[in-house]
Amino acid sequence: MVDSMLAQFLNVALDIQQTPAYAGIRVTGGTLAASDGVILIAFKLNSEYIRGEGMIPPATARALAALANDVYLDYVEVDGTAVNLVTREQYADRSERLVVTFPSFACRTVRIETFLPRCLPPHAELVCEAPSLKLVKAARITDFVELVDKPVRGSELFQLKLPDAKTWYSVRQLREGLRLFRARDSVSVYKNDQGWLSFRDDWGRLFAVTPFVKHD
Amino acid sequence: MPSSELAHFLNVAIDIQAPPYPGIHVDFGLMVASNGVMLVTKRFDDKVFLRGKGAISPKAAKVLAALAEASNIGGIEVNGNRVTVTAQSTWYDEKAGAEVAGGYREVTLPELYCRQIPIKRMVEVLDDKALGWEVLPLSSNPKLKTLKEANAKDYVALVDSPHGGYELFRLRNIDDTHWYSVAQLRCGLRLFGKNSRLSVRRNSSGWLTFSDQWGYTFAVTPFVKHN
Repeated sequence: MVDSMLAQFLNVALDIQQTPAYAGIRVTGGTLAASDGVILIAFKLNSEYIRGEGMIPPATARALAALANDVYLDYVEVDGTAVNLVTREQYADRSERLVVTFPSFACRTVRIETFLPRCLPPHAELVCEAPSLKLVKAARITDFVELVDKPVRGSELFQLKLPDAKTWYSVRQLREGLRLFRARDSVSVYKNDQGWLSFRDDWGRLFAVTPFVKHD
Repeated sequence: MPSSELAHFLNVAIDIQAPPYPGIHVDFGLMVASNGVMLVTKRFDDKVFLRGKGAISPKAAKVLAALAEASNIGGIEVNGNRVTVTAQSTWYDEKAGAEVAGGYREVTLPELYCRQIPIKRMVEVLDDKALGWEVLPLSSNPKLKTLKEANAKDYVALVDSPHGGYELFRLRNIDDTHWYSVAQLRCGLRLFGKNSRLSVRRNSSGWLTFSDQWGYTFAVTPFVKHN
């Protein structure tokens, strides 16, 4: 299938993984994950669709993102840093299978998936479902926000940071990761004891961000 | 080592190509992209490097640019809309703490439709005197300071007697017959590096071409005053 969600995830992931230490997109057990050390995004897909284990180097990810919107993907197979894209070429009278074999490119393996359990229950608690995130859109990119006291479904999740806030978040980082979700996606918000905030939708996409913390 | 020059050309070409001429067009060693107003070309002396004839769709061009940014490209073969690239693999040697080059591998990209256009004819037009074109030699290595300082929305015209090493453009006057968009000139002139020795030509219709010693050409059509 033509996979616009995969293409969108890859485009956001490419923007996020630019820190050299975290370059590339991690693939394991059907999950794609990317991080810059502060924010993390992941996409849980079928392990028959995203096969193998390894890292998708940035160049291959860019190529994959360009193709995912235009070709019928059977599956993506990752082996170390080599990636095979199995596609189906559609002609008027037939369809043909084509394996696009990307060579392996230098990319360090970063086991980003080890952070994922910390973002979800039982390590994180549900804060709110389907909150409003208007403030993140309205605030300036240099602003900081904190969670409102008792977030309610449909109501605003954030308020501008107050001087006595213990944990707060960067609007820039929130905007960067929330691009993962479409306007009508309903997200559940979780928070763990370290203040990590994660947003998850029904399609298996997750965005987590670490907070700024006040040290007394 | 990445094919950064190829990647750079492809990135500029991707920005320039647009309907009615989407894609990057290839004809045995020649690569061309155009939007009908601007045109960029690269002539590869090594005809084995760029083989075949056809059109690389914008999406396939993005894949090609991504590969060229990451690895050394050994060759490109275009046959209609089918593109096959030979790219060199690399891997990270933990002991050496460095990136190490590996073997070459053929990557066959999916055939993405892109209309083919007769690019040779388009490129020949840039030199064709038989079509009533008088190609005027202008200057070599001109200064392009006005372009850098002007606003992207500004328009410029050629100075009266351009000389090598002197400023080529001035801001447009109301009575100029031909003038050019700063945004378009900036877009195409990104093609050339700091060490490029530019030669500039103009024809009687006001078309302007910039070429360098590495086989890159950028051509732009003017805005024309109609009385």
